[in-house]
Amino acid sequence: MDLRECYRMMDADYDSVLCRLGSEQMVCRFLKKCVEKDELNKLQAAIGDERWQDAFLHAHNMKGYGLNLSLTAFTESSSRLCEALRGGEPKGDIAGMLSDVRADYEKLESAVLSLDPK
Amino acid sequence: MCFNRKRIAAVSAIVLLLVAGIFYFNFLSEQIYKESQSHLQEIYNKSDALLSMFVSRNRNILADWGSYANEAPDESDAEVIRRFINQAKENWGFTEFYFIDAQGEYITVDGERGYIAKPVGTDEGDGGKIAFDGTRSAFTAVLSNGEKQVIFAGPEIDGSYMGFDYSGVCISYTSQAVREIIDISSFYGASESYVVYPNGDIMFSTIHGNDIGDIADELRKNNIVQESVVEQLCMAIEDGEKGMLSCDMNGERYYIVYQPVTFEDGMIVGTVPQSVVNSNMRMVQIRTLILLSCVFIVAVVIVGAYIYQRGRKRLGDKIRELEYRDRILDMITMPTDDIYVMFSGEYEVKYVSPNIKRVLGIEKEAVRENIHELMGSVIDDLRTLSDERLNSIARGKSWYADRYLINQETKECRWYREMIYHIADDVMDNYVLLLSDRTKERRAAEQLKSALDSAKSANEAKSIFLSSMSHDIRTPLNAIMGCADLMQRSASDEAKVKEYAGKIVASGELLLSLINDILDMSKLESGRVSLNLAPFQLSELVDEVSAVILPQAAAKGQELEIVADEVRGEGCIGDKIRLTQILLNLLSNAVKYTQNGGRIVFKITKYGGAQTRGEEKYQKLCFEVTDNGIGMTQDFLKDIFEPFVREKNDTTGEIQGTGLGMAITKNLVEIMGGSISVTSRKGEGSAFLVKLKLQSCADTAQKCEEPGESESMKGFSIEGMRFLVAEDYELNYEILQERLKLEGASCEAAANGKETVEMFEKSEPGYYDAILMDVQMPVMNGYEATAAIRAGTHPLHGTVPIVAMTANAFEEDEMKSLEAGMNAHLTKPVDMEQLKRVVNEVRMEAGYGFKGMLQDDGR
Repeated sequence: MDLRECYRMMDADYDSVLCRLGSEQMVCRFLKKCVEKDELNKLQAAIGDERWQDAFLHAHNMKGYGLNLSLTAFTESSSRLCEALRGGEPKGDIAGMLSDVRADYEKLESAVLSLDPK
Repeated sequence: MCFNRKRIAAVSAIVLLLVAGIFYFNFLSEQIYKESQSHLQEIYNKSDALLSMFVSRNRNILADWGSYANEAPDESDAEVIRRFINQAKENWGFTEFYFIDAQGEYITVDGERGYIAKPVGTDEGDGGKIAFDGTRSAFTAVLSNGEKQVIFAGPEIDGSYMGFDYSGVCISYTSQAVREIIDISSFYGASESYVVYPNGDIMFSTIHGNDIGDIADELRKNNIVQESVVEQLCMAIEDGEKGMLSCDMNGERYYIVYQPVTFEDGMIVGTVPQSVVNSNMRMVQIRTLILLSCVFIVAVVIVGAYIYQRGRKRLGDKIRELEYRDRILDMITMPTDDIYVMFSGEYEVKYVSPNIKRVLGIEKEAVRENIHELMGSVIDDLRTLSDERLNSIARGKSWYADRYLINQETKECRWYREMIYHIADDVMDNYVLLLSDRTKERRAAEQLKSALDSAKSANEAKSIFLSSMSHDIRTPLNAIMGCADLMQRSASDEAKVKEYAGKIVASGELLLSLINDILDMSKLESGRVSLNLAPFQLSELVDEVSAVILPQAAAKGQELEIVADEVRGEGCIGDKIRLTQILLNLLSNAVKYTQNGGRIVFKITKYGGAQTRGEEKYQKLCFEVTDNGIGMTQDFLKDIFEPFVREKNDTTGEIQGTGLGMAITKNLVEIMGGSISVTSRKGEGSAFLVKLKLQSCADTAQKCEEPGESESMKGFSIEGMRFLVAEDYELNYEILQERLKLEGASCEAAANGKETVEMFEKSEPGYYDAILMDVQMPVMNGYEATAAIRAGTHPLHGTVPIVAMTANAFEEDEMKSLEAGMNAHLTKPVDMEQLKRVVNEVRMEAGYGFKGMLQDDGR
């Protein structure tokens, strides 16, 4: 699967990221790094332990690379969760939001895995 | 209370003095009485002694006759006897010598015969002859020749002279002679003296006349005297007592002194006016009293003078104290604008603060004399200083009203709060009038009200705007959606797809311009718009503006005339993009609101000549956009530059717009230090005039050149810059690092705020061109790190550009960044063009110059 297709799958903005990072190679490199970081597991663990500050930082990191890599849907869900965790006190349906983030992350993961090796 | 006590003390002192005076007077009178008695008794003792001597001498004379008679020569030798008697007369001073018989008949030595009558009024007196029996040796008698004589009789001795048989002899003295003896010369003849027998018969006295009775009759006869006194005297004489009586005689006070004499068991009685006796004593008494009175008066005068002086001193002290208090009050009130006047219910003014002259232009003394002078400053009809008003204010209560008063000198009118306090206690009952300047408060209140009204109207305008905006946004959006839907359905028809795509683009552009306007307005209102000053050619500006507007005008068949000959070739320094925005706003409005086939004129001229300030030269430029379009009503012209205002009528109904264009234009012109004005007439057209003063490029170090198209698009560069990037998430840092590399810049990472501060502190000045600061970081966040850097010791701690990077696009986040000391704020993901511009702007503002730009130009 080429990168454009991959972005379409993830409901992400290919043109924007390409404009930002200049080359597909660079985009691929960072996409892989995202998956390697495995922020989702860390996020889930923190939420499970009710370490809200840590959970916020992981959600914030995910939102950060989502923005950088123009992962539109992923940015949106992680951003919602991030705001709900801001301030050390969870607000709203954390489990529901986490589930959205997980779904988007899984899309990201599977998309990255299905990228054509270059 | 004190006053009453003093009065009681004064009355008591006077009563005490009077009582003491009376006691002293009585004491003195008593002393005088005793002294007088003693004095009189002494005098009468002396008289008694003289009388006794007189009586004794006469007895001796008569005894001598006895011796002589025993050896008497012959009776016939009368001549011898006569000679003897005459010699005796001469020696002893008696008037006559008598040979007397028992029947009272007598014969003198000269042979003269007669008799001695008994004194009338005495116990024995009947006017008949005295029977000479030798019982009384001294008495006053009347001779047959009518002469009153004092007779001294000798012992019984029988004999015969010239044929007259006698049984005794006696001698006589004139009353005067005896009177001289007993008369009390000390009393200047004012006294009478009597020598009386125990039965009251007068032996002899100082009384003239021949009526010789007893003492009681004598007193009664010559004097008006109390009977009790006479009786008391008679009893005392009978008893032979010694004493003194005090009585009234003929309306005058008299002493009656009585005491026994040493002969004939008689008593001497004297009547002396007290005034004569006491004259000396009385004089002493009077002098004493006068002296005492003088002492008393002097004492009273001294005490009075002392009290007066003390009172005066106290009064003086009180006056000084009052003056001092007045001065203190004056000093307190003088610097303020609050006027104090204290007055009584009868409008007697007690105090006026001196600032009245400065505040209201009224003389203090004029108000002191008449409080109603204050009314001269009253502009409204409210007269507060009336009996009715004052009576309505209860003790301890106050009344107030807001007044508009005029300063009578400067004629300045100001608002005052007038308060009247009724202050009263047991001692005083006064009113205090306070005029307090409330102009500032009133203006502030008015400003607040006006601000509130503005806020309300702005809010209302925003609400209206939002409702119209939702319509305005929905319209192109609906078009986009509709076209997209149609395009989906007609995907195979290329012509239709192209047509729909064109419509989508057009609607998208409208939507974009709407949103851009809103964002622009928001930035302008919050003061976040900064000018990107750069050199440019005015001809270039004109060309760019024309390129946009000409097609629009042409589309409506409008004639667009551009007059810029005067400024072609001129170079300026300014924000060309913003200036273009201003001109495009004005021109696109002109196109929009001018009917098809209308005429629009865009003219740029210079006015007022070039101006030089320091080394910089300025051009005054006038940009004029005139059309013959639909024009505007005068009512609308007033609000044309207000945000969210659009004129609604039949003609404009179909014209799309945000109502922000003119507000944005005006704000931009003002930011550039210029002015904008508009004239318009409904149906005839409008004319907008923008005046700007731009720095002339030719005289600056920066040289104007026609930039190439690509360069002008590019703008700024960060090539060669080194950034300190504060980013806790490695992945994000790496992405930024790669992107910076693409721009020819380098960076170093700090994993949190604390590390950022440390790295910056250790760096050489100028090593980092700017710091890109993530806000959300562990250990120390971006705000704290910025504050620490700004408060640090690094030589560039105050100026090093710090740019915030957050995933949040909220305005308050940007405000927080700026408050923390950061220079600018970028939203993640960072837009490189924006970053390049912001970094260069911030560096320029901080005085670092156009590093990126110069590199871009290859210099």
